Amino acid sequence: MGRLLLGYIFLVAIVVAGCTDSANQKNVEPRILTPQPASENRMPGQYLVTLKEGRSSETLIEVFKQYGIKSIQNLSNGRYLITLDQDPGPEAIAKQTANSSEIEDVQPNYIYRTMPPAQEKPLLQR
Amino acid sequence: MAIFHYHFSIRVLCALLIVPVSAFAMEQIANIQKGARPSYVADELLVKFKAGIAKTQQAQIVSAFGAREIQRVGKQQRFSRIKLQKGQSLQQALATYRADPNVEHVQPNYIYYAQAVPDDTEYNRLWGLSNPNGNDIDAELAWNQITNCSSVIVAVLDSGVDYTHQDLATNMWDGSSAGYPNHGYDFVGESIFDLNPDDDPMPLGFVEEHGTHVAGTIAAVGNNNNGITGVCWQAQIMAVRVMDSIGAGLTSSIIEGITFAVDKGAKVINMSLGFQGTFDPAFSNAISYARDNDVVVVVAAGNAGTNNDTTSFYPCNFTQANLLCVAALDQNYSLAAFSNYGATHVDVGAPGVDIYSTVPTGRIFDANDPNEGITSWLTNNGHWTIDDQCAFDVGDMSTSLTTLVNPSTWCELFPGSYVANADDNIYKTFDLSSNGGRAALLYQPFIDTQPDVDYFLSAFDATGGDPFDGEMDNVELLRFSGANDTDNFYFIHDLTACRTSTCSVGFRLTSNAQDQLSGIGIPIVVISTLENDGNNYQMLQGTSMATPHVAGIAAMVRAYNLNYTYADTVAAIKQGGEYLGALAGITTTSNAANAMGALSYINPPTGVTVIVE
Repeated sequence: MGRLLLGYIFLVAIVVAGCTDSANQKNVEPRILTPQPASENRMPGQYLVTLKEGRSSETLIEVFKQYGIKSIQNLSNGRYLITLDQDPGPEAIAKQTANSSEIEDVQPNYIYRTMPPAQEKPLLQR
Repeated sequence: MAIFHYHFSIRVLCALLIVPVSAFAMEQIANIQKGARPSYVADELLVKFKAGIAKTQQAQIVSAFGAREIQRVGKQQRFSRIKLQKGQSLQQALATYRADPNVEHVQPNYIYYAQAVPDDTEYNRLWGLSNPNGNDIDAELAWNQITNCSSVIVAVLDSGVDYTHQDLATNMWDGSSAGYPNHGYDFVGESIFDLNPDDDPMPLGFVEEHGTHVAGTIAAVGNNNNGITGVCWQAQIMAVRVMDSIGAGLTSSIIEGITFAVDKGAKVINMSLGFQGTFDPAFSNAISYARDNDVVVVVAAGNAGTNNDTTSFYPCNFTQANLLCVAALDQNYSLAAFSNYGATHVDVGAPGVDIYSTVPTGRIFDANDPNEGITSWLTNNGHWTIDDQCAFDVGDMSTSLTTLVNPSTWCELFPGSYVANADDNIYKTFDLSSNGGRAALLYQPFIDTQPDVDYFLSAFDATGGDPFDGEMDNVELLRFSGANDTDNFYFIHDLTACRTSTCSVGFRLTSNAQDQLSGIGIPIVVISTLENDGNNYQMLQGTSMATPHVAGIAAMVRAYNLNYTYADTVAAIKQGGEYLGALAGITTTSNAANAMGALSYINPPTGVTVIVE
């Protein structure tokens, strides 16, 4: 069961939450805690879309309705953030919109991180 | 101040200021900000006449220009200290004397100051500004010229800034006239999974210390007999919250944050963030938007200890001319072991190890710790239990964590399922009383419930007791159905409304009669508080901490010369840096950023046409 875990903040919690001898652990296949929701460093189902000049946001509904649209948010500089129910993945989205007369560009909504202290210090032990 | 500094000051001042003052240089001098300390006497010149010019002839020349000699100076009395007539411009007089064939050399009468040392009580911990071994950004020399950068707005795009911190409050940007009374904007809300922007960039809790730390290095209030000073003693810090409590932020938030900062007048943007991955066109366009509006963007090189030329790291690897990418140096001015580098992408180094700066005041409660809270976890029917031997992999480490589970067998190899018609609550009460300030609840559940039928919920009750007891004072935070395999890996909720001495926080599982799944495990439950008007400080390290040193210098340079463009500022920081062998071949400049060097840097004239006949 592949599970992700959070960043150093929660690592901290883990320290105090009670680390014990791994010999006493019950599950044979431990769950994995990671800081990211996806290995691709992007928010699943979310895309940043710029429409070609003169197109309205209703165009987005036409183009992406097959995936189910959770929300469309109007960003600055003519860009939209669209959240889909079913995520076909960036490659499929790019392929679909490559020759679109409606879409100027589309890209994943990437996840950035602050640069945490290189030597992580358990917050709860401060 | 160490001998090194003394030597450096002489070197810099002589090489860059005293020696022939070109008309271009004078233009720069004339543009110095009004609030900066004057670096020369406004109505005096030092004139050296050529050998053989008699004193009587010298006097005639001086008086012909409407000035008078007031002193003979220099070892051989060959310099005349000249007082200009009232209203005569220094620049004009310099040109006049320079054109006279009897004059060998003319220059302003520069003013030297004792090196400025602020009275901040923790100042001696700021090795990046003043290091006994001389490895620092020469802040004290720069402060002889300027300490007040308040003509420049510096946007900190980060996890928010505690704008009530005693060492930051008076240096925050005042956006109230533009409709932003909280010194910036929040493009996140609770987490990257629940974007809910508002106008308050205050961190949700103590865990969001990053942005406050960065802000302090740029411009904690200087010389206020408290805490630390920033590179600038005064500035306008604009807090733009684009990262959540665990330090994650999305392209969408960051580009909106950049646009906000640019549109609201920031001239320097600090972004101590990044990721190793692919080119991000939207982010790149936002950097270009900043460039087109004359904004310098300072970013971190990254903390993986890798070469950004071979492993791309953004935004450092964007190529816009307004971008400065910063590596971290230790106290010996060696590249920090964790710091990324890159001969074509990383520009300068700056102090980034053991950096002491402002952080919020608050607490972190590990709710799974039996010693935290004023009650232990309570349940309404015993279906929720606490398992302190639940195994997890965290990175390369295998460990077991105290975990809230439902069903009780959740940690077993074959966990079974929760009960039919479940109505199961678990809750715990905490003393979160405060005189003001925020709080956040953070948890990472593993959820597996029948979609749209069975639900996992969280809630709080500021008056204590079961937060699912149906009373009016229950506040629901989350209602989730299905599995969180691909998103919603963690949840963060604003708990500010529960700052009472009896704040109970709880979780609930409900189900119908059919198709029960494997249920819930919550290994991490953290409550983080933040107190207003705090005065807390902390040592951190990373390229995140190096970056604001350079952003501070950028603000200082732009405040020193209000006519400087982003290109002038970037050139001053890059070329005015201090050569460092440790950075040779692994940065674009081989230089450590240096405040005095950047202030002293004089651009070569541009647009000069040479006609060869």
